[in-house]
Amino acid sequence: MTTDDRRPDVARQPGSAEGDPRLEADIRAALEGEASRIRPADRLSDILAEAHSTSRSADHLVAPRAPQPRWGLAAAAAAAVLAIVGGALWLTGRTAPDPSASRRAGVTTATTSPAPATSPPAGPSTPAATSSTQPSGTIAPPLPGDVQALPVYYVGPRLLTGSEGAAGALFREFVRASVPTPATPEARARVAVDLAMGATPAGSTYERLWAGVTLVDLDVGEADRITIRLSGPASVSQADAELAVQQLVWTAQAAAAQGNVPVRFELVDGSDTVAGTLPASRDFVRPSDELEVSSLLAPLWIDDPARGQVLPADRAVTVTGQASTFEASLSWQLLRGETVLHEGFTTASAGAPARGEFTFTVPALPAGSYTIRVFEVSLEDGSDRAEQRIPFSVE
Amino acid sequence: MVDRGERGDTGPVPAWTPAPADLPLDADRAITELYAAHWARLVRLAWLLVHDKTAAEDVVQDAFVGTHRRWESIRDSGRVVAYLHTAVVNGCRSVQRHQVVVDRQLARDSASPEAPHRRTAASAEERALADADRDVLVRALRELPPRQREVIVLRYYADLSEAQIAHVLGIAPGSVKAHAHRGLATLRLLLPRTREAP
Repeated sequence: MTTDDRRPDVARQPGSAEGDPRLEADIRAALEGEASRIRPADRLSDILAEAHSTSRSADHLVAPRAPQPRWGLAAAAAAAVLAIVGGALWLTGRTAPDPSASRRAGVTTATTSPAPATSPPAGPSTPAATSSTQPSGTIAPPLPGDVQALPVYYVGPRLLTGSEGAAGALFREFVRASVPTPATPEARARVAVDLAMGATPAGSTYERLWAGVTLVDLDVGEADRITIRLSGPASVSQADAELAVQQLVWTAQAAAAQGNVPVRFELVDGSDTVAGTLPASRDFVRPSDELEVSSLLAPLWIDDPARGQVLPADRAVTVTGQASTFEASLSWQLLRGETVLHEGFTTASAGAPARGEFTFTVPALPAGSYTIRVFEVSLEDGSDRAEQRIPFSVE
Repeated sequence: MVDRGERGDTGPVPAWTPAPADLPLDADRAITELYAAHWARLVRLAWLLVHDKTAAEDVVQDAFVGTHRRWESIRDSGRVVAYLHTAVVNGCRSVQRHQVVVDRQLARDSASPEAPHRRTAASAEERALADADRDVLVRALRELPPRQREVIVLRYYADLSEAQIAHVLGIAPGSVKAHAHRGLATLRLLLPRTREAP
């Protein structure tokens, strides 16, 4: 026993520990399988709320010169601090003549980017239909509500090599948007779903599946149910119907942060289908099977930096995201225009069909606009199989 | 099943100890980012240690709240993810100390109409076999002394290196080695004899 304890290969060489790679592989598989039996509930808002409620008293002991703002009341102030930390006011909405355009365009695009700030065309939104979610347009703080990073799922091409009309997939982005106070799960979900249905971010390759449809209302019921009331069904092909529905299911659930609660659609125009032939009379949830999830979500996406974010010039840029790629491998490039300035590859914490997180660092950049691109290279022919590009700038 | 055995033990990765300059100053933003990157995996790690989903979520929530409250000093230390792991493992230990509910989740699973069993495309037969094999290991893991279980889970689920595990558990690297060795030896003994000896 004691001599064995000193065997150098026990923990240092996981591939051959104890001379039994199969045991190790079995342990990994058993742990992965066991871990995948649960789906962790979303508790981000609980964490932030608790951190703020408990930190006020504790801060007097620990950091008396930096009392934490009360959660909710001072969120606008916190947002302003965030903006300064981030280097610029990339996260606040800008004025636009049409309030709905402001909400759609201002919060989703890089307003301070040197690139032409093309406002995506405001959708044919019915003002009355969205009045309940309407923050008035503002130039700068004070903001009409809390500026929060909301998870929004967009629909983009799953594969680069696909032909016209090839399958789409969901891409998650954290979009800074103003949420009316109090920022309840319902208010967050309402704004997030509205963003998901609205114009796609400028410069993205996303596709808008809900064009011509407006969000009338969204309720997060007490009986663990989200009800999304729409002006009418999505005008999509049957092939895209499931994707269109799942886009709103994932977005609403993520923003409401109450787990995989059933989502029900109600159509104000009396339609009994929500998209394609999918009936409005049933509940929709996220699939729980790993393979189904991996066929629904994009093979890779970037969580940070956010689209259009402005970063300080003298710091390395840490890029994080999620990937579900073969053997967890992915490549990245830092582009200025189409010129590759830096590139590399990394591995995510898990390989397909599981979803893993990845992190890599790009060296500090001079001021300018850049695009970070992550992509998966096909093992079959070496072509780029899937990608995500996020533009950002450095000041 | 995904075999991640090839990833090897590369020691600390950049994500493990990012330079403080790369970390957000604002605690809300930091926690939001950390949450996106680590919440699900940490809850699952805690679940592997305590086998109670709600308890696992509570433990990891506490870890995040603690990180938020002490963000300034944790950020400066540069060991953010290590801190989270330490808080989670310690939290799980404290849950287990008062553990009267070890099998609560299992009971709940079998009773629940929505038992979190995976519906995979594999045939029922394949699945039954895989599950049986896996169950033996999972049960065996749960029989291990806490330290050994922690080391095995951190090594093979969280993919931490020996040095990282030593840091997380606050023990010497040599002890990590010893716990891993004993744990693996026990697991091998508990496995069915049908397995081919190496």
